[in-house]
Amino acid sequence: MFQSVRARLTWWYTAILALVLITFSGISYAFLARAIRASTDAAMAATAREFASAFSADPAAASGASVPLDFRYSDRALMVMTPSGTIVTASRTLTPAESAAVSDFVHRGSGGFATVGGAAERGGIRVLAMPIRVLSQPYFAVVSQPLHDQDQRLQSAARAVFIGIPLALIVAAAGGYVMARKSLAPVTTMSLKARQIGAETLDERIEIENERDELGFLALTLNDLLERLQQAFDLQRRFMADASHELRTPMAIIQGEADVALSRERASVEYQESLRIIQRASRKLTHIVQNLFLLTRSDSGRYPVHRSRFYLDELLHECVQSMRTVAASGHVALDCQTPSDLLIVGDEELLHRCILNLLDNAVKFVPPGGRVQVAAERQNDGYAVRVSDSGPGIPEADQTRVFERFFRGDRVGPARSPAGGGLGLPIARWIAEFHGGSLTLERSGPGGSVFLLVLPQGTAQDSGGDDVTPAHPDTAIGR
Amino acid sequence: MRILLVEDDADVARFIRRGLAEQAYAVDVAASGGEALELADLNPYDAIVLDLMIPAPDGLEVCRRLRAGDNRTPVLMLTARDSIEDKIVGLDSGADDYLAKPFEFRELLARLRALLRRGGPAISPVLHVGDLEIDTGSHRVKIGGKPLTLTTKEYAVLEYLARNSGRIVTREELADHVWSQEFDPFSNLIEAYINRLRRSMESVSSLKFIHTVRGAGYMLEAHSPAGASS
Repeated sequence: MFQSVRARLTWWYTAILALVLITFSGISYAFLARAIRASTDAAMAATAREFASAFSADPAAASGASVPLDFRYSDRALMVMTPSGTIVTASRTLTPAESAAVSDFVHRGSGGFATVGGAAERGGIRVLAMPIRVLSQPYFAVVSQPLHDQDQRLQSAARAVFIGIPLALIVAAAGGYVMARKSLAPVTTMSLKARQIGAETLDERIEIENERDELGFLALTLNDLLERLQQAFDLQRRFMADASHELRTPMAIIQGEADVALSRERASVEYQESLRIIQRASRKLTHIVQNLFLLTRSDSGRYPVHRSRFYLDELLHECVQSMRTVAASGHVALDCQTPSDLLIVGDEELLHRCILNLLDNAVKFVPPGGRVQVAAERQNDGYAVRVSDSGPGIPEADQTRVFERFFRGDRVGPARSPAGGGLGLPIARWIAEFHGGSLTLERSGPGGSVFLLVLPQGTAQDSGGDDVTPAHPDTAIGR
Repeated sequence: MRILLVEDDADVARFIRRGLAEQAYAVDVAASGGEALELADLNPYDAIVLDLMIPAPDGLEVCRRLRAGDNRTPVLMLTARDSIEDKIVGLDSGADDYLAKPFEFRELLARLRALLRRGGPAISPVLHVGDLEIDTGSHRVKIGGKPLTLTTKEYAVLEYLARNSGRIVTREELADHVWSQEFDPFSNLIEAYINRLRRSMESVSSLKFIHTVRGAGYMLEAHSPAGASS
């Protein structure tokens, strides 16, 4: 029924106010009625006493047909009655019904106050019978007062209450509704604004009217949330843009080379050359896509781990061996210095990729005639692997950025290897951190760059089994 | 038509160069912004195909500098980015058209033709000089409705002359616009091409189209101009 907060607020407010008003009016009315009756009774008692003493003092005057003029009140009747209820004298004539009722009351002989006559048809009579003795004879001094006057006063009070309460409630409800709407208006504005904000308009913010009130605080909180969302979204968007950019060049080569090759009849040698170029481009494409998958999965924290025990020195030699052809084609000397028996527990395939990426990065930027060196040593509970090159070094401004995805320094060199695509170093770093180690650029300058890979030895209980992070085999995609 | 291709990726440059050359364009390739500016300064290109992501200065900067240097050669920007913002920035830097990678080669050709039409006096993709009709899209040449078979280079020479019909085209101009940098200015290649073209055209029509203006160059016209001789 009351869907909106402001309607509910108004309803409760009005209901409570109605309860308070009705209770208060009821109590006031009761007190007022009692006070009015008490004052009537008091006045009647005073009149009766005065009349009784006057009558006792001068029965002769009273025994006549008339009551002293002093006692001829406008609507109050003074009478003297015998205990049997016969009127001895009266200040004025009552209606037969009234006098019968009064006589009846006096006849019962108890005296005191009573309300007789049609109380229901509002016009009852208040009667006071006071026993007196005149010349040793018992009489009753009777004062009667019609109640319609008193009833009228109470009625007008009740009327005021019956008209006043609904009126007050209507005004209060309207006022309350306006107040509620006014104080809740920012909520409506905020909701409308928040509803408008979508992926394309994440830079918009909710306006804050008053920072110090509760709604202002809510708006601030929402804006903070939007800010964080926008940052995450921008990061993701930049990643997507970079990724698509990386993918477009090999795609353009595949498409363009095929278009041109097919545009006319050619010798088979030309077709072969075109196909080789297309093959190279699609390998690069595959490589980038694999890297993207790897990174996406590393982001979601779901990468299946295949931990095993192996020797790090053997892995290093293996990697150096597989890079030899690429290095030789660029006239880069490659050597490896490592102690033997460096037992390690980890994902061999990932670490293989990590070291290859490091080597690839080094070889790519070393000018012909340069050298790349891999050196491993024991360090605390793990190993330190340094990959140093004799390249031109990385500009200082770029040194912190080399681990950013798709970052490529302004270094132009012959592309000797398809690996990387701006993802090699970020992936290598992720693998290092995945194993609880680290990958940093130790130093870089005109003499060359040194990347330092620190890997913990890995604990024995980790070995042997395959596990998945976070442990849920179904969500992990096998390589 | 001579094109400057600015592209640092060797494989991309390869297929564009080859595809354009096969369409009778003379193509020079620059692998960096610096090289591109040098070449554009040196040779009168009819259009520039400019990749955005090239070693410094990048494509946008190259375009700005070209325009700042009052070079009005049409520029077709080639890029791996295709957001609206990228397109706006590219076009605002002075490029005339924008093509995102990957693209169909036919589209690149069509856009280039459109750019070249815009630059030259001919609006229609089909050039007419008297009975001579040259479709620059399909490279079909007809004289009086009879088709003429030409080699790629012959076609390029004829198209250039036709685009500038009624005007004397110097030998240097032909060398600049029809041949790439590999052209040897001391060879008599141009004369040889002109002669072959004349022979081909005479085989289908008795009319003379290509006239030699002694000491100046060549002129393509439907009728014999005064003072000209073959």
